[in-house]
Amino acid sequence: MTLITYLSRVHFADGVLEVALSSELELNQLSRPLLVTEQSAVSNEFSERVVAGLPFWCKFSSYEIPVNLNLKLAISALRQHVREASADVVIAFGTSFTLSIADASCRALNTHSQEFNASVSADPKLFAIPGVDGVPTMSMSRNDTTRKTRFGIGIQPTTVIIDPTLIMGESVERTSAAIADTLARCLSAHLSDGYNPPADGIALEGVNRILRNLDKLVSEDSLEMRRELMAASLNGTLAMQKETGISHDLCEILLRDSPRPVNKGALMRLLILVEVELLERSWTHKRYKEACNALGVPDGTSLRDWLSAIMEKLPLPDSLSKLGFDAHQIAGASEEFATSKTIAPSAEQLGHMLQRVKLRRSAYA
Amino acid sequence: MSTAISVCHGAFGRAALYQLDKSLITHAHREGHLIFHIEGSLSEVEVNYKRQTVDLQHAAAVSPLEPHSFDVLDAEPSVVLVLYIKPIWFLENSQSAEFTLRFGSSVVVRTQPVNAVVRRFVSLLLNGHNMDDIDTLLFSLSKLCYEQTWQSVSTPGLLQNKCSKFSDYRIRRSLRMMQQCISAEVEMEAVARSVGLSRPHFFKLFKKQLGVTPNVYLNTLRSERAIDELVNTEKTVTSIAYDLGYSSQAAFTRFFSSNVGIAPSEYRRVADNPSGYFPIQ
Repeated sequence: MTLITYLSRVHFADGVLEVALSSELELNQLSRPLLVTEQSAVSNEFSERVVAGLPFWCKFSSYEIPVNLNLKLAISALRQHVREASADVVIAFGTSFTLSIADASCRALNTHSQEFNASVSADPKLFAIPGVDGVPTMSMSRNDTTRKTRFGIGIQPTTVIIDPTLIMGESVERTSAAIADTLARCLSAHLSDGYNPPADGIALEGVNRILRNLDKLVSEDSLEMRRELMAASLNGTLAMQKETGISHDLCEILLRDSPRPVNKGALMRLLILVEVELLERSWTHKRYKEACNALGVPDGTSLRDWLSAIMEKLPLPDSLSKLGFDAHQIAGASEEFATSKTIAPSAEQLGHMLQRVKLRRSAYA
Repeated sequence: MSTAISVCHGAFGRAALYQLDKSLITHAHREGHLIFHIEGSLSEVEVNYKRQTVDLQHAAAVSPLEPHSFDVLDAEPSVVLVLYIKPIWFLENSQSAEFTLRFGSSVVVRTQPVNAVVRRFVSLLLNGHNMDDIDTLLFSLSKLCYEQTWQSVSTPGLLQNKCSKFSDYRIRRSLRMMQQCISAEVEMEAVARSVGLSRPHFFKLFKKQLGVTPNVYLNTLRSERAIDELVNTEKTVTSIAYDLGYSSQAAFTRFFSSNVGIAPSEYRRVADNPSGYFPIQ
């Protein structure tokens, strides 16, 4: 038995942003939006289009998350701004980091609304308007003590507005990172043992969407390809409601204490290889064959090699050191992960694998 | 005098049965718009500067922000069914990934299925209506019309129908300014200057990106705001007129009648908004 939850309303169409935003504010009778984005992270056009979607009766305020705030401080600062603005809805747009911070802040406000001023909406809604890196799968608002049992509950805003026209003109690097992140999330969800048949299907569809279009997704700045990428990314987010995988959890640990910006997609590209390697070790032959068949891995090729060959096509930093992680951070993350997962390898084994990802790129080529 | 026989508001937008004996000047809506002749004098609609007759064989389809005007051809009033379809509602119901309610052409041939739905729809408007029935029928009707308008479009026609996104930041800023200053006396010269353009360049760019002039767009916003206030507030017509920047109720009534078709007090008398789909104040 499992709990399957898909709650958010998702608007997904080319050029839908302004009309969908206006319509949702009207439908939910919201009039005091707080617009939240990350400093210097979105184009003026993106910001202006969000503002253009606000109906005339809205009295909005804005907040930009400063670049150098860590997660905890960013969440706390945003909570404070929501309270000060008496916002009844937080409209988070742009990076997945922004969306994560907004989600965590809204959850905190909703959970502890009695602590705050009575004039503040006790239940601010969250509208998410993702950029190229999509809607995050996140669990950062959960207490560390629950890490062993946490699930990839995913972001659960009231409304998500996905408009592929918003990501036209994105750079190859950011697009590649989004592809890697999406592929990693879909694979991780599909390969995990949890019982969630819809999530399995959604994940597989996400993988196939990426694989069908991989070359064009990287090189072609067309609306069709942008739509495909955002569709696959949404699949990744929804599929992760099944369970966050090893790569996601490791990524979260590594990102948590790192000074931003870290290329999360590039990090996930490396960590999913570690996850697949760990899974291969623990699987039965039957499970392994099932996974390979579902993903269309050619006979005679290992799942890890198949994935490595795909990931190599993405022009991204190819080691943890190039992403700014040193041996000390890797060892610390390995230790933390190993102690929190009952089925995880030892910290030493995991650390070795991470180092190998860092040092032996050719092993996966 | 033009009168409203029935007006219904919902998530879909608006549906109205009007008896019109006067012309409507060139105006636009942010909704998709369908006009069906029901009885009385025939009428002509000019859509994007092309005239067409609206009769029992043909209806008019007007895309969002497409300029159009309306003329009654004889002295006798014309009874018309007019639908204002919100693009987001159409999108949600049609499950399309391409956000548009742009009709392929402005002429809809009233086929037997179209006429059957029109008759049922008018009957619902006249005899009391259930919102679910209105919703279902309206979607059937708009989808039938939408698909039909694309059937006869040739490839060159596709290019003519290309929807230009208002991607110029100066135009986006001007849209915001107009929305914020709707109740004041808006000088287009000042709007143009504030976004860094000369008046002629601003008008040219605005028209190119939105398909309407800034003045028509501002009138669209004013009409929307006026309808909202008439339906959802208890403010007097005079008060609404002053709030929208008109010097008198008479001036506001002239504006409203020439853009919406009937007088504001008449609209309020008939309008039915059972679901409260309009904005809170």
